[in-house]
Amino acid sequence: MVATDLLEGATVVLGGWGLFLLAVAVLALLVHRARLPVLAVPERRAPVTGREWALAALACLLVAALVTWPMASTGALVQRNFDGFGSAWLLFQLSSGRGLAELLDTWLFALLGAPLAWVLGPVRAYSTATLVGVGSMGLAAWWAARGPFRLPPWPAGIAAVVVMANPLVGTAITEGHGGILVGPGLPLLLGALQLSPRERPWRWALLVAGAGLLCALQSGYFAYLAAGLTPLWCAWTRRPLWRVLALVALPLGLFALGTLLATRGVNGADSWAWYSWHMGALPPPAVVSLDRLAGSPPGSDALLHGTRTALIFVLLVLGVVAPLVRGDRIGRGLALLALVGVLVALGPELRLTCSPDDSFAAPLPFGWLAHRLPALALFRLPARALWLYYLAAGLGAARTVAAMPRPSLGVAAGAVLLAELLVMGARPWEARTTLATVPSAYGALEAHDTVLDLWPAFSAEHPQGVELKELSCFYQTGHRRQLPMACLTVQLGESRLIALNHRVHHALVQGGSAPDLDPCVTALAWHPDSFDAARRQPTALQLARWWGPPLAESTDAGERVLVFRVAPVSAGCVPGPTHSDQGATGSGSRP
Amino acid sequence: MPYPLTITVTPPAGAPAPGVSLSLSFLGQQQQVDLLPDGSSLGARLDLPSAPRYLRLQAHCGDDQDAPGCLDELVMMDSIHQGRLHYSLVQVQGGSQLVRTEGGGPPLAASFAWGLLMVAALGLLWWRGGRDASP
Repeated sequence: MVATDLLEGATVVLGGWGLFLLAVAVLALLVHRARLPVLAVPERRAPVTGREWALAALACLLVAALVTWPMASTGALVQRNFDGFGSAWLLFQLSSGRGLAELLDTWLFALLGAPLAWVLGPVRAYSTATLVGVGSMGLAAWWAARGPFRLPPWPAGIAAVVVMANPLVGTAITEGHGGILVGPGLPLLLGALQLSPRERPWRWALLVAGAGLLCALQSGYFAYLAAGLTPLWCAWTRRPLWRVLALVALPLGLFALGTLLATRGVNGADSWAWYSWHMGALPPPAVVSLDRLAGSPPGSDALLHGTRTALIFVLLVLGVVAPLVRGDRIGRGLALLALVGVLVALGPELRLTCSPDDSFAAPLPFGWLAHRLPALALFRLPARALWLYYLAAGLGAARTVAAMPRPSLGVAAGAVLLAELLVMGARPWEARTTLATVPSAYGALEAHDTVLDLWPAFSAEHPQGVELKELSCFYQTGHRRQLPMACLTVQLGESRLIALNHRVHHALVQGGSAPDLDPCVTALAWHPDSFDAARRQPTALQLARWWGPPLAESTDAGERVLVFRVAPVSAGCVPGPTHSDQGATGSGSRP
Repeated sequence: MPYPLTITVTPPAGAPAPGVSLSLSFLGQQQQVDLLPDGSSLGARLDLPSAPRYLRLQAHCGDDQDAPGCLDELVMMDSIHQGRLHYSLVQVQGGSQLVRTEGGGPPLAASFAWGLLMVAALGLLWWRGGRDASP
């Protein structure tokens, strides 16, 4: 048993970040001993032409279409297990036509997705915005590499592809985290910071501030990344640091203002959800395994996982180790930036668990900093810092390829990296799509109806609970309220959906009178296919006894749904905070 | 549009392949499926009338969810990989039990061989690059 524990412990360490850091050290030693020449990037010869821009934009769009395939070609949601609460939230906003105000923190969805949703519907609008978002992310990285970092066109493309097709992007698409995909802000910011401020200081300052704003308007995570990246790069490149620090306050200030507006203003229920989404109380993961860097492996697809591991090493050698050991100052800066991203992504502590009762935790830099700067705790998923890793390592790899002593070697090395990314490194190309149709029975409800979906009883810990919650959210996108479902909360354990669902189940078992539901709940949608076969008929009879014959019934969206009217619609019913757990007592949503 | 679905069950190595009976619920319907031995595995191919949102799969389950042979699972359609569902029949005390397994994919060794190949290719490039650049 002890041997097994030790083996397990060693696997955690060696199979995780220990291996990563060990690899950095070993590879650095090897590259150092190889006595390679200093990797100096030749100066750019010609300015970027309009034709080059057009070709780059087209190429980025093609790569984005490849990475997001088959989103652009289908009306179905392309996700696995429908577990992306990010997409459920975006779909809800796009469907309910709230658009600009509440999508502002994912600005591309607001500016592009919201208008498109009127024409194409929410699903296609979501897919199109994601496609354009990924493409614009690559184009921004290409601009940063080609312009400020003065790379030739072909290596600049490497930086773009690394940013567009890295496993984090694939994971985000698979999990439906649409908001964090739309990220041209970060590459734009690094590019802007790299530009010389001397010629036109105000233009430089505006560019830096604008890119920082884009980061902040994309997601709170990127506001933090922008706030960290700016002083780091300015210090490394001896840019005017204090002036820039003032600019850093801008995205952070906007983020704070947005949060304040959201919690005080526009719409109680959704604003709380917005707050929860950004400030959610989920603790940062204690341990980030190597899988985080490579994206979540789907199931046990060994080839994909192995390839992703290989990708880590290929990118590591080209983008981190080579610039660190043999690079010039800019190359070393990018390598260090990439390592900073990795160090933050490690989380607050490295935990070695030999058994549930016996664990060893070593503090890590992020934990040390977060302990002294409580605001850092809001960066609740440190693994998101890997976006910085892929951006910096991508630019570093592009510079390494551009500086290779023989151009053919550069082409070959770039081809290896791109093949890794494009062929296997990105999202698994699986034919897994989610039905994007809402059962027609929901159409019988009024816009102000509040629907409780009745699923089999599940616990907050059960992974399927998340899927059922997301499905409920998606079904209710046509309604102006989603209050008791806590669609948008991060923590399922606090969802009133579970409390109310359990209350109905309890009443079904008791067989007495109808359960006392939340006063705002006006309808109940029962999903009989999901129930135990033996319980369907008794449940149908009991529901009919409580609330009469179903208001509507459908089998047109992949399941049978029966909708019951449980109370008259009350326009004055005001929902409570969606992430409150007060619903368990029924008092949380009273006006 | 019909939705083809293949269910396979892999029995324990060396053990005879007993028949397994599953009850599928979808689109308001219920269907009994007998998974019959086909070589070393059990399987059935179904043509569902249209794509389901999810399937409720039940086998030999009474009140005791832990009973040997019991399976009671809600399977989301989008967790079904290319219309295939894989289960393994694992031996437990007093009988056997169906366990959902991810199907397909090459063995782990192939994965690492591929990874090593990629790293070796890059190492070769570096070595060549260093040799060519040396005086």
